[in-house]
Amino acid sequence: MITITQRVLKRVSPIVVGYLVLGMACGMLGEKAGLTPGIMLAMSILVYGGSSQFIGIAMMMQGASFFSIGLTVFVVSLRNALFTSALAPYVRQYRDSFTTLFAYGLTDECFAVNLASYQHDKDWLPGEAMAINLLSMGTWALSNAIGCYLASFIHLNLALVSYILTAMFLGIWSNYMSSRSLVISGIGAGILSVFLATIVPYKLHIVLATLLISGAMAALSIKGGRHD
Amino acid sequence: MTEILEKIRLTDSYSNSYIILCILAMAITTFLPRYLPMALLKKKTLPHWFEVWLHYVPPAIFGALVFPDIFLKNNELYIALDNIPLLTTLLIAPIIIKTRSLGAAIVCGGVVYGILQYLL
Repeated sequence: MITITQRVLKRVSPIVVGYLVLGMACGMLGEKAGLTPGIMLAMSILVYGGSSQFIGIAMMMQGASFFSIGLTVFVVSLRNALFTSALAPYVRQYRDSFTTLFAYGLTDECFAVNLASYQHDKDWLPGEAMAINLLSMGTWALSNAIGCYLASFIHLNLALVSYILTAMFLGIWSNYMSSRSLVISGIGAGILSVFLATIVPYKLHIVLATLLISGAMAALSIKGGRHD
Repeated sequence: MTEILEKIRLTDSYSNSYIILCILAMAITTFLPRYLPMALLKKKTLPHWFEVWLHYVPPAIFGALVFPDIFLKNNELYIALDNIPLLTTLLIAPIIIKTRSLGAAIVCGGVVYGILQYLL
């Protein structure tokens, strides 16, 4: 099910480096939320979503309810539906058990590498696609546990770590600023989210602002008959 | 097994069951959006309205996450010269928009925030 080739190692290496750093930061944040390295490892494998894990931990530190954490993480993970939809045509002939595991291990970065590989190399193997996902996941889970373990020995500048999380969101966000309507969707939801944050309980402002603005933009776009 | 669970329950019952519930909630909600489209699309295509809507979700969610982080402090609007998250974001925004790189965002964000924290 896994085929590790030279091109797999070459293409996965930038992801591995990035996940090592980000995973350690996530593990350190987890330690502050009271998680142990073992739980951090289990969480990284079960949840395996960089930003959703960061958000979940940040919300756990604020004592948000598991319901509102689940709902927020769901909306944050919705973009993954875009990724697996885009890759679906390439995995049509594979077994269901394969596509289930493959979908489970697909992140923003693995999606980008795999889509480019499927488009450029006609001979991109299912095992190679899976190897990209699983090597990234292994790196992520281990670096989370290591970061969590190390955090108990070093003094952590919590304000800085939480800003790094914001910077991470900014970095991912920048990839979705390719048209005017997408920029409006982002900034509109941002402004609404700030406004709702002060009046809506359980940290639901993120979910509400996202659904309201993206829904409105989609409705306008369908009504106007143009899509970009 | 029950012994271990009992021990956990006695030492830290609230936070452990809370943590496990949260992790389970997150596990299910991260898996479904990835799995469902791939499982369904093996047979057919997504409805058009759903595809259009999905298109607008990613920027909206990141806007909704970032803005409160930089504009609010203790849940109140905080627009001031000593708002370090806001200042950092304004300073690094041109770099992020130009490079569109997660790595650049994290490194620049960390460095600029650290410097401002030291200066202010």
